[in-house]
Amino acid sequence: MSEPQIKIRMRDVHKRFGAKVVLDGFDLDVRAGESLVVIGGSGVGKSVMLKCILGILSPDSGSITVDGIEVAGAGSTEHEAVNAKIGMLFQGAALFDSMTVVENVAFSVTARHNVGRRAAREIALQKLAMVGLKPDVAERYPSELSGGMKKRAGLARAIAADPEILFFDEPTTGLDPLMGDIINDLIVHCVEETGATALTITHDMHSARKIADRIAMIYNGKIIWIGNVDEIDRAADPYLDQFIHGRTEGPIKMAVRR
Amino acid sequence: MNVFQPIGHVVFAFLAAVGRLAVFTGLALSHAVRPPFYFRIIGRHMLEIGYFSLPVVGMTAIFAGMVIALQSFTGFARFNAEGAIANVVALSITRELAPVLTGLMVSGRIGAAIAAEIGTMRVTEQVDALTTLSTNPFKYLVAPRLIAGLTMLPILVFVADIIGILGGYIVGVYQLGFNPANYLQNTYDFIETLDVVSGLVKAGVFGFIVTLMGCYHGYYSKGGAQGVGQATTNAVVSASILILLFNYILTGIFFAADV
Ligand SMILES: Nc1ncnc2c1ncn2[C@@H]1O[C@H](COP(=O)(O)OP(=O)(O)O)[C@@H](O)[C@H]1O
Ligand SMILES: [Mg+2]
Repeated sequence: MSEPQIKIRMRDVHKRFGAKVVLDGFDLDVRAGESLVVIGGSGVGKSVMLKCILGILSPDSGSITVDGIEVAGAGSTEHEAVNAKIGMLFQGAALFDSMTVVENVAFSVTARHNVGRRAAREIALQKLAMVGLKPDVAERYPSELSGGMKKRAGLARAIAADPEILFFDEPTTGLDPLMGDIINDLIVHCVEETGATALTITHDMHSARKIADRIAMIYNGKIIWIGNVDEIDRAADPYLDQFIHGRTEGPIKMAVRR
Repeated sequence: MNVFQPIGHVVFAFLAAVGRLAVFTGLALSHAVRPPFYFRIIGRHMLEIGYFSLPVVGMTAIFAGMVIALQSFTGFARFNAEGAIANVVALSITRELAPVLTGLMVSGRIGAAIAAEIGTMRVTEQVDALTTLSTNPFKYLVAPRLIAGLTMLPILVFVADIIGILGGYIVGVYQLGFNPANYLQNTYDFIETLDVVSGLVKAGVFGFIVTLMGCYHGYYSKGGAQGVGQATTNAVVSASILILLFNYILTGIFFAADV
């Protein structure tokens, strides 16, 4: 049996803000073509992990490679080259509010592929249709959309340039359960359709079970458990057990501030 | 009790802020001069800063010219009022008032808007989204605004020069009863190229300061709506103070020989 190919490899990554240590010797491998979901409580550093890969934040030490290319401490040119392979859905969708929905999606296409305005628009409308947004929605501005529609539009923008890697930051947070499930289905559909490697972060266990091939749990700046999604209920890890059952009693101590 | 510790903290915080601003400025400039250029976006900001500021700047300039004419009449009434007033209006408008007042008005209009827009983009992760879409925020957000500020302010100030002198003319001719032809002749005789050029150079510097402060405070804003509000205030206040400071320095450089 051959070793699975590793798309993203993080080794001994450290990141702190002032005295607050967020990533503390963080190791993670994302295999090519898999859908990996990282779970963990709020404020444990899930978003920081993604931002370190994208170069939005730079880690204090450690190594992060994407397709074997080192990005920790790399310059903006290297990051631009690597980020061209990545599409990201932000927690709040982060649509550009000075542009219409279709312009948002087309922006992603023209930023990466050498296509004309009109062709980019065609591709954008196609991707919007793929996430279930009709052409009349495409001409609206993000401020005129509901939360679920924003997420869909953000998803369309993330997949618009056919990236090899997709990041989803809390895709279901802030949505009602029905809309959350629709987004889950869309993510599964898009990942299958594009064949991309997906890295999702969430604290929603229902979403994690639905999206994931493998699940990893982050606690105290490290991955404390990683395994296939069907192993999660048999795992004997007390931290994982407490988290997936949402118990207040257990080894996880919530840092209650002031 | 250690009194040096808090002082040290303040000094370090100040030096850190200066260093961060210097790095920001360097990055912004390096992106402003290297391709790709977003011409459409530069054009949009030029229109916003140049064209749409015209009413505000025109009103400011005309009243400034009028008040200078009126005020100097009370001082110069006993002397050769006609010549002196045309002179005072032309010099004070072109050298000082048009660039400074335009700079301050534009900092309120444009600096605040830039800080609010980029600040909102920052706290809603739109700036991060640009990065993930292989678009450099310095190149896409900051550089076009700096270019527009640097090029549009001199044009605005040139217009303000004309309108300001016109304001002085209106008061001189219609209120104080001067001879129109003499007033214009006096203005034309007194004014020198350096007066106008120094004002336009100042305008370029002020345009850079206003847009830089707007971008800088917006780019580093944090913490939601309150943070954006704070960034907007800081952008206007810091730009205004820097405008007055650089106005003094530039006047010193241009007119050192006269002193
Ligand atoms: N730019 C930043 N500056 C300072 N602290 C930050 C910054 N980004 C994140 N943090 C802190 O890092 C911790 C982890 O944040 P984050 O990764 O956003 O959490 P989550 O796991 O909920 O996504 C939080 O305590 C947060 O306050
Ligand atoms: Mg987060």
